[in-house]
Amino acid sequence: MPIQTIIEIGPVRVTETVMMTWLIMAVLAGVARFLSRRLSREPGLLQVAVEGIIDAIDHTVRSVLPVHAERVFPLIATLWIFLAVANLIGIVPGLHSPTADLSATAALAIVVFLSVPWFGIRIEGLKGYLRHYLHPTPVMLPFHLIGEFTRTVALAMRLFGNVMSLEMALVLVLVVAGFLVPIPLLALHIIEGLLQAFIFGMLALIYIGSAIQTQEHRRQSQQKEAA
Amino acid sequence: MELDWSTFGLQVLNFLVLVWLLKRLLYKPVFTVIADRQATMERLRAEAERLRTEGEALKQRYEGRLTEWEQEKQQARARLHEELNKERARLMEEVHRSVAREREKAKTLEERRRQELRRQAEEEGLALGARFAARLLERVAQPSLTGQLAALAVEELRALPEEQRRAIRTVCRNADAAVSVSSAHQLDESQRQAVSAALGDLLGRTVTCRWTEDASLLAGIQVNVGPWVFAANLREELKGFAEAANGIDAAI
Repeated sequence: MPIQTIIEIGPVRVTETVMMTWLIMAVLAGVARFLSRRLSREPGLLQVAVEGIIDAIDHTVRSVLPVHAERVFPLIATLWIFLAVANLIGIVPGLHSPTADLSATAALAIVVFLSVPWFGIRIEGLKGYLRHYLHPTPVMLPFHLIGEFTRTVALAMRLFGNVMSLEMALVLVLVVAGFLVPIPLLALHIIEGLLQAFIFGMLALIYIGSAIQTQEHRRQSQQKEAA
Repeated sequence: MELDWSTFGLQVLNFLVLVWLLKRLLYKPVFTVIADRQATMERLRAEAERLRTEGEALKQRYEGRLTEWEQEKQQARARLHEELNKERARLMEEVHRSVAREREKAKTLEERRRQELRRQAEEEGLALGARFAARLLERVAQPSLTGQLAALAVEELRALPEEQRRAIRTVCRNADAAVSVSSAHQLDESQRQAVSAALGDLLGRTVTCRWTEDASLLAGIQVNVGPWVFAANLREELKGFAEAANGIDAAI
């Protein structure tokens, strides 16, 4: 399915994907603003649900990255929330899922790709971060570099392929079988959308965590040896 | 499946903006509220812990005070028992003394009652004896007995001591005092002369007697000279016997 261009201003093309992303951003920002104004120490049902989601994400991030969870949390939480909404929005008739566009998934993958050295250098320093490419031996450096590139491509392609194929299958079944038949496929779409969001965010968390915790493990080993 | 660099760049920018927006609008406020709540809970927990600690301290203090109170109570109870025992002993002693007094009083009363009964019995016995003697003497009260008693009276009048004689004369110095002689039976002339002679000898003058009969005398005579009375009859003897018996009882 080709991505339609809505507006084109010089070299900048505002496509259907970008428009849907803005819509999702507006909705998420509006909901966040609405919730943040109604927060209280004695929470209602909605606040309990929101706090539960945020706390569950924080707990997951801390279970993988216990030391610097508060730094990584905004990126990972935003990835999960955005991807869950973006993956599922395609179910609504007339709306297009941004993650069915390779440009969007590639953008998110490149954000993850860049966030790994970003957090690694900020937390470990440039020298400490670059050292992990030579771990356990300098011979591993090319493989580390290839792995950095390929896993980013895999992130983008996995998410794009799953969401795009689900949307396409849904359209095809809807065209072929009629009104009620796609319902099981819709349920599968919901599960797959949430699962892909979780996998993408979890992999991003693990990539960032591996860059940070390699240094952390090395520091702990040195402390043990010194002791 | 094509990569649009314009969309790619905008999506990167969009995502970073979304991270910034959610961080400011959602994550920070929610974490702030959670942290506030946790701080409040921690404060409440600390307050509860402090109150619990204070409660424990108060509990221990009150338990200590309860123990002291218990000891004081035991001591007070022991003192009370001791005082009660003393008071009981004192009261028992007092009761024993009171019982002894009552017993003594009852014994005295019983003794008095017994004496009274004995006295009454003696009086009744004497009264019975007097009645019996009176009945008996009524049967033996004959004119001869009256004569014998008149003779006895004459002997007694003549045998009176001089002092008594002077006293009787002093009492009966009025010469006109009437001399009355009562007898249970009529006296013959010789008996009347003997009585008149004895009275004249006693009073030291010639007397004229008025002779009367009084059956209540049973036997014997009674002489009345003014205020002076001389009895030598059974009635007065019996009366004297009864009065003598009463006098003995009163002396007992």
